[in-house]
Amino acid sequence: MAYVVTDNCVDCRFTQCVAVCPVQCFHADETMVYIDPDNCIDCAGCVEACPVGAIDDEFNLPDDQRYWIEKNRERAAILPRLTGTMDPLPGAEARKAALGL
Amino acid sequence: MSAVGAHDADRRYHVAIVGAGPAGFYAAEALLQASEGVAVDLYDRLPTPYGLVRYGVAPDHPKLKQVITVFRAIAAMAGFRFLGNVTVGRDVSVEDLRRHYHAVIIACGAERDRVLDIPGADLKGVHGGMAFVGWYNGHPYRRSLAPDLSGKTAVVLGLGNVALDVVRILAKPSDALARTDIAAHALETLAASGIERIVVAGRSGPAQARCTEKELREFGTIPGCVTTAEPGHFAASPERGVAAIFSGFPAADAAMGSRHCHFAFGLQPIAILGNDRVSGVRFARSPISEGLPLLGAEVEVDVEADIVIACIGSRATLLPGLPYVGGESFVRNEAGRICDAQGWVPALYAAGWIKRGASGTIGTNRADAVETVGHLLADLPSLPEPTSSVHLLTGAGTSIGRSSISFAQWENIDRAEILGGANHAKPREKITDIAAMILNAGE
Repeated sequence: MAYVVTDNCVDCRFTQCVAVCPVQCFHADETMVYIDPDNCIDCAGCVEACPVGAIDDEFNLPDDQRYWIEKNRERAAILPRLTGTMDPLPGAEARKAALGL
Repeated sequence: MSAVGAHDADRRYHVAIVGAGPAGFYAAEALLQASEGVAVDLYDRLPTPYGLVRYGVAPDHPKLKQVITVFRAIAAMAGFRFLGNVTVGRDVSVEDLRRHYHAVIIACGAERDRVLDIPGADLKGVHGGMAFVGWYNGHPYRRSLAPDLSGKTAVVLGLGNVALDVVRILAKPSDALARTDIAAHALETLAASGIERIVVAGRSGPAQARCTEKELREFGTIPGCVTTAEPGHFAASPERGVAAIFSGFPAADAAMGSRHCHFAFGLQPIAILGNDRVSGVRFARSPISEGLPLLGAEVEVDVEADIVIACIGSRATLLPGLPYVGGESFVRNEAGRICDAQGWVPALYAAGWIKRGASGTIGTNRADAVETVGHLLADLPSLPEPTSSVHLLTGAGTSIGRSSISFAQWENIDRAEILGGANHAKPREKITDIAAMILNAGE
């Protein structure tokens, strides 16, 4: 069981999660980050670090969000690993506000 | 014992880090990655690295310990040295380190249990959570704790993750721990445990419990153990968070297992009862209203206890001369620069729990250490040159050179532990005695 990045990261990509990940298991593309489930050690540190609540224990995911489990695995496998934080995407703050956060 | 070899002379700066736990390793990584050219000496008083990953993380949570792979990679970086078996504050002072290094980072954590400041707290059978955790994890300084588990009832004070670890270790059948890296002495004591009932007493309501969901959820799955939670403590039906998990535990269960773990709320301990040893805990019990303790309406209740484990937080590890604040929770610092009453103490930094108090997850220490190292690197050009060399402190012929344990020597200890574990189908059999560790360290 690993942690999973979901919808709210799309177009935000704040990457505070990367700073607190003890094992550098985050990978990124142009829109969001993904967790490599084989590397994640289930410490849950990223859950609180995410300003938009995008990360959850896969146990908690509702049915319509469970596709993210496989998507995280697939994307993390082919994308470069993040070793440090990046600037949020343009519009990230607006999207955060739109999410009511 | 091997002398510590010549140390990366082509690096311009030398930094000492005190404490080889997560904060120490992440600080080392950030320093070694910097373009300034920094050599790092990572000190620990034990011959073993990894701090609370080895001596804190519960033996039945092996996945968390996979972070050691990252620490091993850091230890392999050019410019890194481990100097185990060196007690800063006894074998070498912080002042000495400052004379031999450009800068010193204190990262030795928060090992001391917060004092349960109520009458009877010094009775036999009352233990601190950090001490108990160190005992079952084989910490050499905690071996002698030898808790008496012959009684029927344990009371655990606190609802944080340390409390949950302690409760889970007490609640699990010893068979379920036998193939973990739990210390042999602890497994033996737990196998003979008479504990049938564990009362977990929190001051807060369920929603304020500081444990994490994942750890709490495990309580529904412990073989032979029934978990219940005090009824009537939930605002409504909580949908998410730890309160939702607590509310999912039954108020009572007819089909009791061989063990029973009960979560109770609104309980402030006011005295430990007993004559020569603990026999109970007196609480001021607050009624819980809308999920919160209602203050001013407490009534006294006594709960029977044969052993009490107080998991009520921890205080910074003591090193002589550091400016402790916040009830000794941490040292005074500004974003990692240690400050006394006169202001910043030049070249002295803090990272990890001793910097911010005991909180967060393993990875919190990465961000924390990166912040400290950022300031250290900014200060480096203006810091005075050390008045003496690192070689004069740690080279062949010095007492540290003679007695310190290198990372390669630790790897010998590591191999010996893994070999020792193979006989018992354990991932390792921890060596819990410092002399035996040194014996296995080789040259």
